[in-house]
Parts: sequence; C-alpha cells; structure tokens
Amino acid sequence: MKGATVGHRLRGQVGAAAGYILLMVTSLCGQGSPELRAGLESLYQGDYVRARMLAEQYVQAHPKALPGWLLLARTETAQGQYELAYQSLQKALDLDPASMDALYYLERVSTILSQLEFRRLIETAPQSVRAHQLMAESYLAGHHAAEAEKEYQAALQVDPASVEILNALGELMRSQFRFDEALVYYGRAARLAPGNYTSAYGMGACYLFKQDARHAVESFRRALAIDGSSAAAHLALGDALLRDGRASAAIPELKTAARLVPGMRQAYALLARAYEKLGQRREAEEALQKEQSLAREEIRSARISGSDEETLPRPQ
Amino acid sequence: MTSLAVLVCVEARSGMASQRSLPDDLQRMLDSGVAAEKAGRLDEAEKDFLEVIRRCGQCAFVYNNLGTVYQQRGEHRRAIAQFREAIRLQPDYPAPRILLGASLLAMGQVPEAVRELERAVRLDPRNIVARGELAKAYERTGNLAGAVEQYRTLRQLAPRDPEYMYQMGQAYLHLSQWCLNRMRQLDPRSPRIDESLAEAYRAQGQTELAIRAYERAAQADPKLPGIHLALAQVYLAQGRTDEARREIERELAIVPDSSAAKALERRLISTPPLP
Repeated sequence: MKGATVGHRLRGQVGAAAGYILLMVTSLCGQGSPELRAGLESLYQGDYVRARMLAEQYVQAHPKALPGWLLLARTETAQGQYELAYQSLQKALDLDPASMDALYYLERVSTILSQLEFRRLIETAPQSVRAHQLMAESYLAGHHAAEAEKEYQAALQVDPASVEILNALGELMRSQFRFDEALVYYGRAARLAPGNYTSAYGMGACYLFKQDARHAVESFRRALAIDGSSAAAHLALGDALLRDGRASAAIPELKTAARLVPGMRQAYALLARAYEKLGQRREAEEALQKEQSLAREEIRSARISGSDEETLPRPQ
Repeated sequence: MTSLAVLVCVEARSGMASQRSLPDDLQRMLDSGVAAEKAGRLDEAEKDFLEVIRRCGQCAFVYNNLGTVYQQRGEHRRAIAQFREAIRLQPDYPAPRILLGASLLAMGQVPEAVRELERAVRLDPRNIVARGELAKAYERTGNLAGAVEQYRTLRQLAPRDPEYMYQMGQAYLHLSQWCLNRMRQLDPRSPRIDESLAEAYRAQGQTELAIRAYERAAQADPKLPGIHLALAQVYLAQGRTDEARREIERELAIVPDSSAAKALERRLISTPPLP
C-alpha cells in the first residue's frame, strides 16, 4: 500500500509532466527561419514526427544555432524521449549558457527524468534501503512525518549500520523535538562514523535545545574538527558558549561565522548579546545595528523577488 | 569510507595479475595484515604492512593497503602519502588513484580529487567505485552535468543496483534546482521562473499555489504561450469551466494552431456552462 501511495504520487508527478510537455510544445521561441517556423507549427499541431524531422534537419545544417536545439529538445520531449531531450538541451546550454529558455526546459526535463528514475527504483527494488529512504523523503516533503519515520525504520532494518539513515532519523526526531531519541540515533551514527559531521552537529543542536550547553559545546567542537569551514557550526558553538557563560570565548566563533557568511544576521544578534554581557556597549550597539541593517535588507530582497518559495517544491 | 577502502582493495586484489609476487613469509604477513584490516584491527594491519614494505620495498599494492588503514582512521594526510607512493611505483594502478581521490575529497581538496578520479576512470572505465567517487566529486564542484553522466554510465554498468537509480534521480533533481537558481541569477523577474514553480506546485497537487504562479507568469508576459493553456487545464480539473473557457480563448489568441488548446476547447464546448 505504501508503495502504491508513493507510486501514485510519482505517477501523478509524471502525469503532471504530460501537462508540462504541452506547455513546452506550445511555448514559442526564436521562430526566425522558415524551417524553424514550419517545425514549430508542426509541434503546435501535434505532428511531432514532422516537427522532429524538421528540427533534425535544421540542427544538421545549423549546428551552432540555439533555436534549432531547443526545437529538437521540445519535439523529443513531446515524444517522451527525455534522455535525448536532455542531451539536446545540454548542447543548447553549451551554445548559450545564459539562455533562459534552455534553462527552463532543462529544469523541466531534469525533473521528469528524476521522477522516472525514482519510479524505477520503487518498482525494481521496493525493499531496498534506497527505496525506503526515497519513500521516507517523499512522505517528509508531504509533511507526513509518521509515515516517513516508518520508512526510515524499514530502511534501518535492511541496513542497521547505515549512517545516512541513522542521521536521517536523528534529524526527523530533532525536528519533532524528540531530542532524547534523536541523540540515540546520532550517537549510533557517530560511533559507526566518528568523522561524520551531521551526527556531530545534530548532537550539538539537541544538547542546545535540552539546555545542556556543556555537551553542546563538545559536540559543536567535534563538528568543527571535522569541517572547520562550517559557518553554521561556528554560529552554534558561539551560541552554546554564550549560554555556558563564556561570552569572551563565544565572540571569535561568532565573528568567524559572520566572516564565512557575511549576511548571517543571527551571528550579529548573538555578538550583540555577547558584547553586552562583557559590558562592551559600543561593540554591542555596532553588532545590533549590523543585525538590523541585514534584517532590512532581507525584507527588501523578499519584496523584490516576489515569489512564495525560494526553492522548487518537490520531494528531496 | 571504510566500505570504500574494503571494496577498492577487494577489486584491486582480484585484478592484480601484474603485482610482484612476494616471498612466502612476506605473503603470509601481507595476508595477515589484510585479515586484520578487514576485522578492524587497524594497528595490527598497519604493523604488518609496514614490515612488508620495510622488507619488500617497491610494492605498490602494499603502500595502497597501508593507505587504506590510515584512511579508515581518518588520517588522510598519511593516507595520501601512501597512495601517491603506490601511484609512483605503478602509475597504471587504478585503486590508489580512487582512494587518493576519496581522501582528497575528505580533505576538501576537490579539484585535485577530480583529476585523480578522472585518471582512475580512464585507466579502468568499467570500475564502478571510481565512477561513483567521481560523480560525488563532480557534485562537490557543482559540475552536475558531469555527475549525471557518471551516474548514467553507472546505471549501464549496474542496471539493477538501487544505489545508482537513487543517485541518478537525486542528480537530476539537483540539476533542476540548479537551473532554477541560475534563472533567478540571470533574471529574477523572468516568467520562466514562475512557470517552473507553477509546474512543480501542480505536480505536488498544490493547485492554488500553481494557479498563483501561472498568473504571475502570465502577468509578466501576457503573450507567453502555454501558460493560459495550463491554467485552463487546472481550472477544468477543478470544475471551474467559465474560467477555463476564458483561459483557452486567451491561449488561442496567442497560438491559434495549438492542437492541445483546440482539443481542450472542444471538451469545454461539450461541457455545459454553470447556471
């Protein structure tokens, strides 16, 4: 049944791709030459065979002309030959890396190909770790945490030593504020892979929420020993040190976080608190002003972009 | 990392027709070291391999094995030195290049890792481990098309392996996200961005968000073909036939020859309007 649910979702997504194919077919672009116009007309009229023939002739005669490759990709997509369409679009992007049309069509074809691949996985190896993981990720994308947990647990049954799955369960538990359970999973992952960043950071985050600053500091230090370039870990370590009453030790960590990611507003907010605790009023005020300036910039950017979401809504 | 080292070593040993044969006592010590490594007794394995090297000298595969011990301990600098020595002794030996690539990746030296892994793939094009590591390295450098190509080959080499189906799907997904990000960088107000979002929302069943995104795209470019057709389809699915008719009329005004739009129009004609 679970396979049917996810399979249905995947089929729905591939079925919606058919709607997208119609969108691709009817989009106009670069209809300069008579051959291209004829090819586009055939495409709109649903005569994909003729459209494909005209497109192929055109790209053979004009291999460096972007519109020809775009037309070819659209006819290949209309005929369900997504891998060929992918190749045509890569050629189009080689010719013009800034082509919005090529990027748009490639985005769509890549989405279709990913969904086809995932469907193949579910159908071919439904009891594999990856199939369970995919289903868990699909449930998570649909905000069905309980089902996601079941799938991760099923994956763990297949491979109890999967660090990836253990961490995924840790992340899921943490997202649900089940910190003690999360720590168990992260701990298992860390024992299997002491050099794993995710488990180290995850443990630190759990301890921080549990108000156990000392253990949080240890875990974040471990995370930074693994990946010293992580701004998030520097920020988190600074936060933990601050809560542990070590404001002067927190400051260099927070400054590093801000240096690694100049727009990291939280780093400045925490720096302001750290300086305040140390009685350094001027520095605290400067950090606060920087934080407020970044907050205003964030609001301004959000207004300009105008879209509801930053990323494409899809399963992970 | 542990499984990579073991996998590569197993592959290396199975293909080692050209390795120098060792005297019996050193062979036994080598075998003992390999067994210790497999059992996780890394200190013991290290001791055995070092002794074989001390007495044997120019044995690329022993340096390789020693490198895997250090790699499993996370001592990548030491591992890298061993792998480089193995490569120096036997430049056409793929295993240390694969493992070197993995250690370089672990140390964040990604461009160099890519170079070594590309060489490993050229030496042994059917080596699944090499291609898998190269795909990961390409992803780290943002070369998503390169990663996709590696996974496509892996799918051909191991068509029923769920690992590569999953990774291939993820690679395509990352590529589609990259395309959207790139469109945003080039032209944040492009209607193509809202088109992409609308299609994604539609596939997820978030119809109202899809409609809003399509409408934004149509507002940004009222003559963009396909948008009104998509809106008509969505409205028709929701039973909003009047709105569907309005959108189909708009679509046909832009693309009079659209067979898809005409088919939908015929369907709407046969659907009675709401009272």
